Amino acid sequence: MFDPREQGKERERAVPKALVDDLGALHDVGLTVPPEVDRAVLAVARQRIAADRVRPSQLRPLLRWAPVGAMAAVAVFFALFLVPAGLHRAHEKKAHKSPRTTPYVEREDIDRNGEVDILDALALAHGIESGAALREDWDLNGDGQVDKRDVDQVALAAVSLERSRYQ
Amino acid sequence: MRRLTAIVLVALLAACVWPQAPAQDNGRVRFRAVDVIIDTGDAPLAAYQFELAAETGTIAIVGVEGGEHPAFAEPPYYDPAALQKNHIIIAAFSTQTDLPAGKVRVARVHVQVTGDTEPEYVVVLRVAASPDGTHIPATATASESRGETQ
Repeated sequence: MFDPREQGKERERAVPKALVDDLGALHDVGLTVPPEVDRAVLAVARQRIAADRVRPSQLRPLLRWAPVGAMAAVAVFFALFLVPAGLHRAHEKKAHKSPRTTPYVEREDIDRNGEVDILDALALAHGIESGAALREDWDLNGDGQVDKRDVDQVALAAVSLERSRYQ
Repeated sequence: MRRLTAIVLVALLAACVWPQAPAQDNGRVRFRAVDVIIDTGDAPLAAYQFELAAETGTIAIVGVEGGEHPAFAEPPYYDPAALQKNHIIIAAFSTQTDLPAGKVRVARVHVQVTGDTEPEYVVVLRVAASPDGTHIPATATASESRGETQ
């Protein structure tokens, strides 16, 4: 198997020793580092590395506030999602139970007395016969005109069995 | 032998079914006309609405016709869904100037009566109004017409 390191050593052995010595002398600055300095440099380096690390004692205040943070997150979740949804449901329920603030008026309730009966048909018939201004919403069958057919529709609504007391 | 067994079975079957037929016939069917009369006193009647029902007996409403006065001679308004039922809401109005007052037959309701129980009719007057649409004091009664139709 080809090994580049072995090949490098082979080449080194092939270089003349005089050339090696000359080259070494050329780059040799004649400086030696005492072991104490070496150790001091290492000690300072270790201190700096240790200073950069987060110590457990530094994490303690963060851990102390972690439950509070979690509770705050839960509170925010409730405030943003659950409370509005609950309020919406409660509002819907209330709206369902409480009487309407604006009374519902059936289209056939021409005289707007809250009840559809033959008097609504009579009122509409009188309106048509007298030529008075007719309201657009009296066009109950939607054929574009207010006429006897609309009167019939009102009257039929009045006699619908849905209004029977025998239901 | 097979034929004899078949005859006996048919005879038994007929004997079982036979008594049930008269039971159905117990509810004899006849047709009646019920007149509804509104009494307005002196006030002219321009519109009415009432509900008619049979509180006893078994009836089925089969038709509705108008009243005796020309103002209400046309068949009144009613829900077709009330046909074949025992209650109905009937209403009519008139914009004519000639209007009835006092006792007036406003409608005739044709019913099919089934069974021996004579029906008792109840009429609830919802509306009796003058030409301008104001309520007037009035009473309503319902009674079977004398001429029974068969």
